Amino acid sequence: MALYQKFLDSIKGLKSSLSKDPTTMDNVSGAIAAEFLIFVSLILAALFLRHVSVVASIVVVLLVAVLFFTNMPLAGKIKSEQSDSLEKMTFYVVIVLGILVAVIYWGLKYV
Amino acid sequence: MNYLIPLMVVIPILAALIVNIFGGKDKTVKAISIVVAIAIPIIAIIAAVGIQYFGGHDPALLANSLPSNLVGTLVASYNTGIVYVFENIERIFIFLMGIVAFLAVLTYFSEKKEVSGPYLYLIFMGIASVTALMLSNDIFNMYVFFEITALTQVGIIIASSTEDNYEIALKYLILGAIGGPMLLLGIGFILGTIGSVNINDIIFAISNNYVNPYAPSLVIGFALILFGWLYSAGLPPFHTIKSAVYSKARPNGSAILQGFSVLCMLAFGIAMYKIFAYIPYFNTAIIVFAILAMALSIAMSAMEVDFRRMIAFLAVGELGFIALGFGIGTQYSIAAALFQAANEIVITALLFIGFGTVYYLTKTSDTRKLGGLIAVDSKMAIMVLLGGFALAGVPPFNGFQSKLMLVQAALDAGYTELAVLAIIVSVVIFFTFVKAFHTVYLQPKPKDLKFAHDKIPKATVFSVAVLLIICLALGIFPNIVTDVFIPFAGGLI
Amino acid sequence: MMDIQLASLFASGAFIIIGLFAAIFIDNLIKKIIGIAFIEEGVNLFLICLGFKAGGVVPIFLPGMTADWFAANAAYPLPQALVLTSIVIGASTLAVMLALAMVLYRKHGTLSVSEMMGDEK
Repeated sequence: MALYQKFLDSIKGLKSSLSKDPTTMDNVSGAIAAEFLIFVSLILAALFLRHVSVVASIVVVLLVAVLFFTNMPLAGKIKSEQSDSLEKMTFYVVIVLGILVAVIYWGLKYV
Repeated sequence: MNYLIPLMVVIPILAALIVNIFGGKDKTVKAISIVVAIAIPIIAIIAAVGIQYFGGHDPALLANSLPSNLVGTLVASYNTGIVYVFENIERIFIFLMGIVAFLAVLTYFSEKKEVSGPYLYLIFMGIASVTALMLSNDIFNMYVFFEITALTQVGIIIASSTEDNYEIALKYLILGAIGGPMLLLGIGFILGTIGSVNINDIIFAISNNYVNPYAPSLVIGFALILFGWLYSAGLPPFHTIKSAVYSKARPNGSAILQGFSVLCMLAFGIAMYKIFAYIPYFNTAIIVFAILAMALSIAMSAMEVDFRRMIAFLAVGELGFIALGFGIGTQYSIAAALFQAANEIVITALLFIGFGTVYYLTKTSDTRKLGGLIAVDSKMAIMVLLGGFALAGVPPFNGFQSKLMLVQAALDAGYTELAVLAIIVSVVIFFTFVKAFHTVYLQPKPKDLKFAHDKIPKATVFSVAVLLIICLALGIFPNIVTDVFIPFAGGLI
Repeated sequence: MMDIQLASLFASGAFIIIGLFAAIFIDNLIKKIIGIAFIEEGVNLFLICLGFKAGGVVPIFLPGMTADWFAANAAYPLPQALVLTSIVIGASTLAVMLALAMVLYRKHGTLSVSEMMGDEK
């Protein structure tokens, strides 16, 4: 039951990970909902790979599930990454620009 | 000649200039604004479908006067001037935007005694530019009007005098100064490859193999325009700034801002689909950003305690559904995306204006300090609740029809996982909304809650009621719009 | 002589990269805004050099020219028209950004972006 215990602990840990926020008590339900939504969309996004390769999709789904459970309270991290800080916003914007141009330009050669 | 088509852009610009000149005279400004705001949707309804060639540069007429050695070449088919195309789909979106703008202006007048000329200037200028964006068939012209829209959006936040609005405005400008030029760079790459910025010419040149469709310059142009599209729509990585922008405007301003974003997204989305749909991985790229938008924005909104920011994140998350429809790329899914866009303009405006009354009454938007507001105005509370149902996709409202259509389209196209994801995201939207509704309206009123106003103005109630009726009408008779969207989507692919 | 068009393409690329670098790494608000204006200028330079033609003439048809000679030698005028519009947009955006920088300096008493718009504000 180690994994289950870890799962429970991490849900409890969500509260402390939000403690920097003044939201602590009020919004634990919201944080748990967000946590599950992130998990489900990660798995479904991994399943989306089955249109490319079924084997890859199985491997990635398992990998995502394991990685998710080992890094459990993701909601707090995701929230702090998407704060209103200009530096974080610019950083992600430039990173996405780079990835997008690189993947679309070089990716097309391997289609 | 169909003069109503350019007038759709000219009238709001004129109105913008006039209300700015008459800045101090409240009655004149109010009268002009109301008349113009009613006129915009009426013109959209009565204008006949047509094409406006600016400068009279109709390629069909010019072809007759060309020297014989040029007939049948690429030059003969290129458009010489800017072209506006007005079809039924533009009619629907300009009409809905006009209605939302009218109701927002009405709400603004009822909640503020002294009206601000510059604020109305920004609203009308924004309406003119998004209308032009929808009509224009020229990507550079679209870029220009998009930048004007972005500037008016910034102006609306600056004029809103909320806490931290200057910081958010500057952040939006700084990020826009990365996103906008990248869009222009993409347009530049296309211009350099094809030699024209008219969408029809670009499609003509690509589909008739005058240029290599997989030329590196075209592909990079696609990547950069896709990035600009993310900026214009507020999809990730721009979702945080976009939601901050919505939450820092006045409620009526937010209602208009989200309408602008939806129209920008549609205009560039349709243009991009027309030009680049042949590129492999076009659909995958859009689906990836759609999934990110839905998952990240809705997760953020679930964790939010400021209800204005929460609705703002919900609005951005709903954009993910539109992107999903475009990404799946079948006729039915694109029609569903367009239907979802039409619904989003109305529903999100309803929620911004409806929940905005809470801010109007109490001057706070923190759900932890609120409660028991159903006692103040139960009618408004119920209308907001119904609006939330429409957002989450509860029958018989329009959100249900468009999401059902989207899920069916995803299933038909074989993307079962996307259909499941769409449903789950809707469930979380419902959860988030009901939680906010409960904390604001139903839980016991905190003792220290102070009211700035006692009553909600009648005009605001009227606005929300009208928007709710539109939601219900589109939900019960979806054919009004889907009969236009499905053939249009069929023409796109 | 080095190819002017190629040189301007490289220069525009350099401008854009400098601008992106400034957007991420510079903390002083005014410097950041100046840096970001570089992106806009780089794109404008890119557009202008699209219309360049080595040894080309002004795209005005004068008496004495034949149509074929004109078609072969005239520069491409469209990018120049587009760049004018783009410069105007860039200038107005820059003006609004600088005005906001002034307001924020008065409000916070600093020009450091991380202090004004960071997490721990």
